[in-house]
Amino acid sequence: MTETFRIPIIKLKDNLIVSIQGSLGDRLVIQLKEDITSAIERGGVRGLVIDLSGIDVMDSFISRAIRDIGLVARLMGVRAVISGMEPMVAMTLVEMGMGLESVKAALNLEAALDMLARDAPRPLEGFGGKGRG
Amino acid sequence: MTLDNKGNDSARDERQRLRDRIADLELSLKRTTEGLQFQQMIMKTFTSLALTDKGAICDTIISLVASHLEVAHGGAMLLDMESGSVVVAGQQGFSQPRELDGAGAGRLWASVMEERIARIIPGAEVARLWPGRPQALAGGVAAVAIDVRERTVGLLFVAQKRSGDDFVAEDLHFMNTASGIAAMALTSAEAITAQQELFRDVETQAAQAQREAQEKEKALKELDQKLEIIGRQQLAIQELSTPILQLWDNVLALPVIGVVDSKRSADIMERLLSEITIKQSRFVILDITGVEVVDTKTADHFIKVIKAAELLGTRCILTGIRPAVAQTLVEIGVDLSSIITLRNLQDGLRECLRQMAEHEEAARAVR
Repeated sequence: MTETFRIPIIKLKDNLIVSIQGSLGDRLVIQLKEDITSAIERGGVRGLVIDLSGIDVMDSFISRAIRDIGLVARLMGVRAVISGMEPMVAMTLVEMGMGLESVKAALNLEAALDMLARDAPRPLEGFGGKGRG
Repeated sequence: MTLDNKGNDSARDERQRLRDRIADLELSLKRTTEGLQFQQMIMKTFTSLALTDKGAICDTIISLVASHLEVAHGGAMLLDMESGSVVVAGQQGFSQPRELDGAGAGRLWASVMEERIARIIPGAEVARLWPGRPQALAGGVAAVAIDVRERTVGLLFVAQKRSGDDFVAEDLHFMNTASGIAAMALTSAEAITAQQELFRDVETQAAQAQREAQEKEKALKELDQKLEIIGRQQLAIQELSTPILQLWDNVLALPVIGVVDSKRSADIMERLLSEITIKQSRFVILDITGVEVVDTKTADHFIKVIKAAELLGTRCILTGIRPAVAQTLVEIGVDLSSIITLRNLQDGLRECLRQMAEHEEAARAVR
């Protein structure tokens, strides 16, 4: 069953939306990276939203995978935003000393889409600088 | 003829003598057997009664001895260990207790002590040793010492037999044995008493231990209640000490007052993050005007709270850093450069409003 299962990638206007639910395995992560990069390659994409509201427990593997996806997307000129992280997950990440430096965070999907649409410079974010030139 | 007669006479005498001797021996055997049987009975009596009272022991032994030897009067004296005087412990046949007195009987003591084994004290000697003797003892007595662990602790004596006969060797032998039984009974009485005392001690100790255990349990329960109260108060204080205020639309404020330890920091983080999720606030102002002292740990707690809040997608602003706190932070090398820090809550709110206006403008421009 897992052989055929893929995380769906939704394209909305010029954004890609990915909702991660439950646990991520090696194969799924590789598949997701490939799917996202090929979707970006097809063109017309300026932003990527990864929604984490379906994740109750996040380990170092998942956080690393998300950071990697953010970095890959950035290299291809697409800004990544995560949304809807659970408080307990945030606490765990901070306690474990794991940050998600390559991605910005938004409260929810709507805020994430707003953020991408507005494309405003956000100072003191670890990443993103003064916005696009 | 005369010779024959003489020979016949001497043979007859010899026969008669032998016959008497046989009769004597048979009588002696009968007495000894009876004595032994009686002794066995006495032993059984003592073993089964397990008496602990010295008076009762002496009374029993003297009444048994008197009934076996068929005498009307007898007594048992004991040496009182504390005062050293002789007391009447048991008596048989004397109508008034006053008839016998310890001081008087004590005079027989030295005489009996000489031999230790049973002996007969003739009436004249009794009269000499004990001028005020009871009338019943006028015909002399048979007496024996009671020895416990090679010390004489008492004296058994019986007056003349009812029949008026003299005491014979078997009687004295019986008295020796009786004194031995009495000594054994007294020894075992001591042992039993000591054991009972030990039992009582143990019981007392057990009761005391139980009482103490109960008291401790009670104290523990009280302590538990107090702890519970303290816990509740602590919870109440925690909740009171870190209120989360809705300062504006999309702006939460968290004034921190006092010392921030890891427990309180975890509590603050948990409450702030869930509040952010519920209210979906885009800005949080962490005001630490009420924090007088910081160390690396406290600073670390603040950084963690801010980072966790930013992971949720909210902007975090730190305000109200006191001069001394700012100096300490720099001295201990805490890097707060990734965090927006402003002078006070007012400036923090102004910054939030400015950023919100900027966002609005940007959003409008997009449309």
